[in-house]
Amino acid sequence: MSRPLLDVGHLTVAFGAKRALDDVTFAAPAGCIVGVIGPNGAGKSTLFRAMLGLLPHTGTVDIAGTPAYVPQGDATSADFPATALDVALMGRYSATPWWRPLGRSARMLAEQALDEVGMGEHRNCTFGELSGGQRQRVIMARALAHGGQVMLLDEPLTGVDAASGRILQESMTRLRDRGATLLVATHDLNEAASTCDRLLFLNRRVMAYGPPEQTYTAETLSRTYDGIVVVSDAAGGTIRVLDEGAHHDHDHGHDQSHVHDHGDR
Amino acid sequence: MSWLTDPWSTELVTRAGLELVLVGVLGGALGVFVVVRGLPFTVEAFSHTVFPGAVLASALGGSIIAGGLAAGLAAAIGIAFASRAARTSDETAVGVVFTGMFALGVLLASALGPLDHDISSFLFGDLLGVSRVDLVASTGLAILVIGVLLVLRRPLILGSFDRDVAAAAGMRPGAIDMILLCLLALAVVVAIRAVGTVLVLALFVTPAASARLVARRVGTTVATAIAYGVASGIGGLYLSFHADVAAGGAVVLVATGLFVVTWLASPRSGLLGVVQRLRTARPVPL
Repeated sequence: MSRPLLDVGHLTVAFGAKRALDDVTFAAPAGCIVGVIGPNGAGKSTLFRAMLGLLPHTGTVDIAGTPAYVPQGDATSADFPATALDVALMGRYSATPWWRPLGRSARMLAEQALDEVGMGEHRNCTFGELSGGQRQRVIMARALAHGGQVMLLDEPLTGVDAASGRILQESMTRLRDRGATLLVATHDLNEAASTCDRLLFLNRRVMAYGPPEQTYTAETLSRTYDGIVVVSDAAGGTIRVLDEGAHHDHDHGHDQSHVHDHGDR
Repeated sequence: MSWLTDPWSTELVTRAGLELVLVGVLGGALGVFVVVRGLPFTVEAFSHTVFPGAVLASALGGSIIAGGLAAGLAAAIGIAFASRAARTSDETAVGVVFTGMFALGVLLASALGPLDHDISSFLFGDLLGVSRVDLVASTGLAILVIGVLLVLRRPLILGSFDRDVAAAAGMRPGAIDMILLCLLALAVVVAIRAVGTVLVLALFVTPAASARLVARRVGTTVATAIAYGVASGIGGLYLSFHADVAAGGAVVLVATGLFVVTWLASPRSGLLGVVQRLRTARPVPL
């Protein structure tokens, strides 16, 4: 196995006396999509934020280069005066010193990134004019323009229309095939099991970590979801998770066209 | 055409006009970030918190601008820390602090004797009292603000748009907030000289709000807001000069009028846009 691009050791985050993350350890090699799975409040976003250095934590985080980051969908201010191209160009900000204008190469990277997520012809639309799924694709383009070998995506497919979801998924797979490592938080268990190379089951601690064929079991799901997993029918390939406090439950078989269409305009 | 040149024939009015141009630049440029970051209430707070500083400075025989600046900077730092603590919502903390400070100013003003001219000008502005020193200070501040906005444009934009991503890219949004708030506090104190504490908020919100209606990108929004701010200042000066009305009110009313006209004419949200959409829309069978 090649040298890990992502190496997290004994990562612990405490809010006051409460531990939001406890002794999280995992590593991922190049060319790997790691799906992060767990109920609401399990610490998925906390894990991402701690890895990015946005939260005080103990333990080690070793990431090759500066990771690109796709935060949860509601993090951006949709009312901001910027075109889709402007947003994609933001991915080049940290690589450009302040006295230098964003040059031709930055523009080319941003336009390529927009093309890659099918938003090239919308480059001059303002961010606010776009639908929720299109916005998420533009945010993905920003992360693509940022470049680098590691990308952290916090529920990139939640609340995104089917077409956008497919495009985002394809884009992630292409990145993986080019040797990047992606850490993707998701609510969609079956999707994760079929598209990720490894699954990280998280409920404040790592409940299981490894390839889906080893970890995606009724037993792990039950432990991760505190027994809220009600039905697991391995023969039919259908797993039903009643995720308490989530805005939706999951009830889908291995049909890959599952859609989260709520919250979209 | 003498009505165009008349106001500029006296040095007093010329100084007032130059001050309004500078305040228009400050209010327009910073106002865009006030509007996109949802800070109007914070600006309102600054305009009130500087009052006790000005009263105290006046009573001690010092410069009310210096007193106001000191109080404004203290408020900026206080608000930045209060919003970081985040136990109470920002607006609640700001509301508690600024009304308390303004009350302190009122108390000081009544305890330290009758309000003198300087202090009442602090409430309603005193454009004709703008001195050469004031103009130099305003010019310096305008250059500083434009310079800082240019240098920090990317952290400011990314921090306004997507704070976590800016932080993850090492752009230190907390420090950027602090710098923005300090610049705002300084600009508010300077603008108070022109229109007074009561109306100063308009200079930091209305031109930027007008610009948001027509511009689609940050750079063009800032440039347009500056144009609106300067136009409001000059327009207000003419209105004030020829109609013999208070300058502060005239400037703000011109800004408001420009906003209304822009809003009505705006292709996206305005009356014209609505009419156009109604015309092009297919008739709906009843």
